[in-house]
Amino acid sequence: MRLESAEDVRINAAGDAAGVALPTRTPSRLKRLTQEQIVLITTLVLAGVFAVLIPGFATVRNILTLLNSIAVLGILSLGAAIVIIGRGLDISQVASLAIGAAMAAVVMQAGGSVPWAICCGFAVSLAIGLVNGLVIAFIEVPPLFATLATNLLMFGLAQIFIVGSTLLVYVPKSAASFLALGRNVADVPIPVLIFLGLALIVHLFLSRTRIGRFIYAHGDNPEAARLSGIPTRPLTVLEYSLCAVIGYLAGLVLMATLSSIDTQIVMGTEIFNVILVAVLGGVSLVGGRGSVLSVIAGGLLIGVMLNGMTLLNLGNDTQNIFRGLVLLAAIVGDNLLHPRDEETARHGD
Amino acid sequence: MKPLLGGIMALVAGAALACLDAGTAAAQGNTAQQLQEQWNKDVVGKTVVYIPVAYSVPLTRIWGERMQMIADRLGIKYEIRDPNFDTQREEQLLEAEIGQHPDVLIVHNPNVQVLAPALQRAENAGIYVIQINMASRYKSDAFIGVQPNELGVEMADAVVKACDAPGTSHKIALMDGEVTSAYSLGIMEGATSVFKQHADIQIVSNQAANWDSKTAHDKAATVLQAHPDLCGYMGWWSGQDSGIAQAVKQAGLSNKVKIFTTDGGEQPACQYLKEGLFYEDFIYPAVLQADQMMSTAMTLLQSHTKPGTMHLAIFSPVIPTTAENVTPTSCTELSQK
Repeated sequence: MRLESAEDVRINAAGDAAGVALPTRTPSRLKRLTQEQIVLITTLVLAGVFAVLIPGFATVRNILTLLNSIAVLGILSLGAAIVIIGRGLDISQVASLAIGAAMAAVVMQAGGSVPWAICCGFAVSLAIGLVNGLVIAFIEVPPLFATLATNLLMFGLAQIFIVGSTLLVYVPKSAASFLALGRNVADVPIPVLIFLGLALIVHLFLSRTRIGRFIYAHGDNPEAARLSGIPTRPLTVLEYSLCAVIGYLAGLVLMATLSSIDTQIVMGTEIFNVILVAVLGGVSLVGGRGSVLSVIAGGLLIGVMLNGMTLLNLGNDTQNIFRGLVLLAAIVGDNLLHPRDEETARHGD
Repeated sequence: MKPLLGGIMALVAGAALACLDAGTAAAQGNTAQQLQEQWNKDVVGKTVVYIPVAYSVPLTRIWGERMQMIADRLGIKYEIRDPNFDTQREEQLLEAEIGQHPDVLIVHNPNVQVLAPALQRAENAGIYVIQINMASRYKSDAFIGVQPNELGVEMADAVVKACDAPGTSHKIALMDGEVTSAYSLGIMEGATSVFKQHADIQIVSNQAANWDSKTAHDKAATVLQAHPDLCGYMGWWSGQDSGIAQAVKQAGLSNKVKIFTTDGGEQPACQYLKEGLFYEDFIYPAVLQADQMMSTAMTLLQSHTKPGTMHLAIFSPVIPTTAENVTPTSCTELSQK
């Protein structure tokens, strides 16, 4: 965590030399805010503005609808965060989402039971994660290229072997127990419960288990991690497998919500929204930084924006401008409080 | 004497008729042969290239498969290019095709702007251009598709009929697709002209889902929880509007909120109509459109006009379909390849 900018260090050093305390540029309390907190504050301010402007915004039902709309994105970002913290990147996560879910739907259509269908889909997603992990860990292809290639490859294979050229697969009505996943329990949407439950599990995994700490170490300084005895290659395989399997869970939730899955999204831009949510909230692409709170913060900001703009009935172009400005404000705010300098920009700090 | 004369006259008349028939038959045989020669010269072996916005959508698949069937039966070389929703890629594919010089291009525009210059260049290069369902701002040899303004008027009339009635909340919501496409703009224009005439009707939401059902679902869910007494939802395409239907179902409002949608007779629309998830679907039969596309291609090829001189309009009939009048052929089933 960066507490002082280089300029503040210089000011402090000059002050020490002169024997006086010079005021640094940034008030020290503000400097201690992390990126997650800045994003959360931005979200709260925005939510406050919406609550004033829109009568029905600050109601329990609307908050739950808001959370439901970011549940799938949030689940994906939790998986992406694990990989990014380990200094990786998984562009093929949506492939795990869509192709895994499509496999489950195809099995259900062929008459398989819901548990068996879910297992089949899980196997497909796990396979995607394993391929990613093995290629990146053992063949040492940079993650960006490896997962980009896997994405295309899996999409093509899925078209041939699983979904055919229509790309859209329906969940048969007979799979009622599965479709129930898209509904509510005591007025709370099940996708929201799944997202929050998974967030808790991933948080405990990353912060309280040994492997979780290893992932941070791996991302912060892979060489040092390897030299100190952490099995970085199996760890890489684990990171990408977890990312893929969490992506599969998101796929099941999405498919239960819409009663269908459109594998077309594998070739779309949803993955960049996923990475945006994680990175915006504080999961740094250089690795070793960020937490589940980052994902929640980023996800909430996106969710509040979309929900508020829909309720305000803003036009498409206005929404794009507004979204761009808010994201820019959050990023600039973080940059002003934590400016990059030689010390903090180096890997491993 | 009289019977003999009558007999001879009958014989002569019969012979004359027989000769006439034979003569007509010979004339028909000649005409058909002449037409076959012209057909072989102008149509058989010609290349028709089809570039939809994406080949993975049921609508474009129905068009493609139907056209493929006709082309295969009649000896026309038929090819499909798939830009997979990538606008830039569609432009590149179009440019590549202009270089390859097929005889007819059948193009589906993502918006009014991006392909217009290339379409003009294609016609200058001597290729007939048929635009389908979503037009660019450039008028080429033919446009085949639904007339979006008329479709918008028809849909809005139905929405008003359902939601201007006493006892309803008079609240409606709109879910547009890709706002910059000619199709979307036309429907919006037509619908707005109708809604303006009914001051009671209140449009509580006018959002766009960009043809994506998840986006439609999330936005509809937000609108529904703010307006649970919503009367009707008008959507621009059933593929995305299935998301609205799911949101309505999850909110427990399936019998209360009426969803009006439109498509080319693509599943799951007919299924949703039967299950009460859609209220009314304005179907423009895609197989009919595909037949029209091939016929127009064959007509243009035989017309020998210079590409770019004709501006044919072949608008598609729209069939308002509800649960009561939906038939097994209202929607087209795709072959699962």
